[in-house]
Amino acid sequence: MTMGAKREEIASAHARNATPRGLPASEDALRCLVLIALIVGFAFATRGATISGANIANVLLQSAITGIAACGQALVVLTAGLDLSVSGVVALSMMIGGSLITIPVSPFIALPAMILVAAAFGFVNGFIVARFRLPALVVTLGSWQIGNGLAYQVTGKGFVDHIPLNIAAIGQGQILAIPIPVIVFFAVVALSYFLLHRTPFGAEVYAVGGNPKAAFISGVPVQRVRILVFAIAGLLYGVGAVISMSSYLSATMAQTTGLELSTISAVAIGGVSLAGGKGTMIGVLFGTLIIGVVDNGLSIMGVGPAYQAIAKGAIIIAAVGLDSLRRSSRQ
Amino acid sequence: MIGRLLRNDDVLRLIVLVALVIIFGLLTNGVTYSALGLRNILQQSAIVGIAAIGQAFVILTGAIDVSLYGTGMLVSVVGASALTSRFDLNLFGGDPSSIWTGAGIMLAVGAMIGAVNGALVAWARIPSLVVTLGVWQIGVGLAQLIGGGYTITDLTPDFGVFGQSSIAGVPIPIVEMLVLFLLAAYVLHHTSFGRSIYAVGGNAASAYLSGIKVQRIQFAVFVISGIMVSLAAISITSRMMAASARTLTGLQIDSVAAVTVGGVSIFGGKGTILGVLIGTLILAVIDSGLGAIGATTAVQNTVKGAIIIVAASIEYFRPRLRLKTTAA
Repeated sequence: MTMGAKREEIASAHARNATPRGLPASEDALRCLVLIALIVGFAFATRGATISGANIANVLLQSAITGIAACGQALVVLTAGLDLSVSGVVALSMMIGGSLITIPVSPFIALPAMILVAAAFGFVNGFIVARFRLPALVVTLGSWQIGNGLAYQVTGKGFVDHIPLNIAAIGQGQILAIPIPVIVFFAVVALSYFLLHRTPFGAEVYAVGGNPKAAFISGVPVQRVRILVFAIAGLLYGVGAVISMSSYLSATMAQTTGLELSTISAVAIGGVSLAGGKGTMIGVLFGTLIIGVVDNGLSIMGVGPAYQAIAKGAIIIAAVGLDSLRRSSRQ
Repeated sequence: MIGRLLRNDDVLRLIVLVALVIIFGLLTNGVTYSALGLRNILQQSAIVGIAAIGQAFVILTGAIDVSLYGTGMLVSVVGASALTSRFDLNLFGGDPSSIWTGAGIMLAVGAMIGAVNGALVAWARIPSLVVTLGVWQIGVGLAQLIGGGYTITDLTPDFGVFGQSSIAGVPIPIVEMLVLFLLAAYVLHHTSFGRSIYAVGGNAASAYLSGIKVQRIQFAVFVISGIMVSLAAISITSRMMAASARTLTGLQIDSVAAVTVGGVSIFGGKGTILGVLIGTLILAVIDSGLGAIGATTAVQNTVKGAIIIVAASIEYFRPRLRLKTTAA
């Protein structure tokens, strides 16, 4: 038997084993209940203002960029990594794309270039982490600074003026009354779901995150998986950058601030273990929506940004705290 | 003898530091190694250095504290709103408090936040990154609530003593930083508490089996980190005689950078406090050197980021270097 065939077999065995562990349906059901409870609660608190059609579209729109990036972050976290460079990558991608498109370069070249730049950045992150066996936290802390620095350097001022209106067709367009960013968001979640839960690569991601030594011994190309998750994450940040630039019709550093925090929150609230190897894409979707609903609900209730920050911080700790409490009580 | 010295990481780091001082000195006609230049570098590094000590304690146990900015901001806003003579901004009823009460309140707030971090990490077993990420947000939120988003000024005039006066010509923050580094070196390298920190960071399970109260150690390092942030916040608040939302921006990044450039393993259990001091100084020299050359903040950030990665990669290459030197 060739090595390749053996690898396939092991990977599919992993996939079979991983499915029940990878898909703890009850936990995601719990998260779904929390989401519904929050939606109902805020609907009562705001006399239904939060469940108007316009506001639901708004929540989804606001969640789209975080959610797209969070799918990438989730893949990295599942391999027991962490990507702090999100806002640096998005900023760099937007500044390059924005500069190109105002030259003007055709959006059909500029927008794919944005995604390519971000994917390349992610690839380099992954290469350094995997090849030199460095902690992802340190590498991406460094590359975050580099991304922000380069983004500023590209434009010389940290923003791009006069983004042409034609790209609004993406960010502000609709198909069947559904905003395109929302469609992209759900498409990314669906594709990530497929990648993670229905392909050998997905099984390898769980294997690397669960126990890299065992994964290596059973033939999983650990380094390649590590590099790939960072590259895919970068690619998704690039998609997020395109959506952000085309829906706000601007490219500023401020649009990107806090993306690492919000993606990590979405992933953690979604039940992905920061130690790697555990969690689902559905969980990440719920995590993103929970944050979106809370943010939106609080601001419609007229709660100031200070209380919102406090609430968000408390929710992150509580969500992960409940998870670890339950895990330790089960043991 | 020289070979053995060169194999000592801290000596290597010291050589890098001296080289950087000389290189930037040559590039800027001696700005970095003039007495004034050195004083500026030390003064700038004091805040980060003090915070980095606490961060080093935390990282040595294998955890991380990213709440520093939120904690520091809350500490300085609470302190300033006790010390201010502006009635509308005073948190405690009107009269500005004495400088010692103000400093005491700030230390207490920092230690308390550290205790919350530590308790959640040690006993609730929540990953430190998540806990401190959340506490960072909560700290920022509370600081905005208490300060109402204003820059709090008109502090008791004597409060400037902590950040602006000097002993024998050396500014207090520099003295404070050096004393704290000495103290930290003593605690880490000459007490059983220090050895327990290394043991917990090296292998928590075997530390537990050998009778170390692992959770107590994990709790204690976060309290220490909270106190260090308070000291840094007192120093900066006293220097600016004001507290605002922007004073400590980036403190967590800078402290983690100083600690990793200083050779402390992010996985815990490895590294020295002398390394952290040198790491802090290396970053400060680069910052002020680049500033003197006229590089923009963007370039400075890019370089800083690259340095963090390079410094961390040295850890990967070192085992091979060492093999080569011993073989030769």
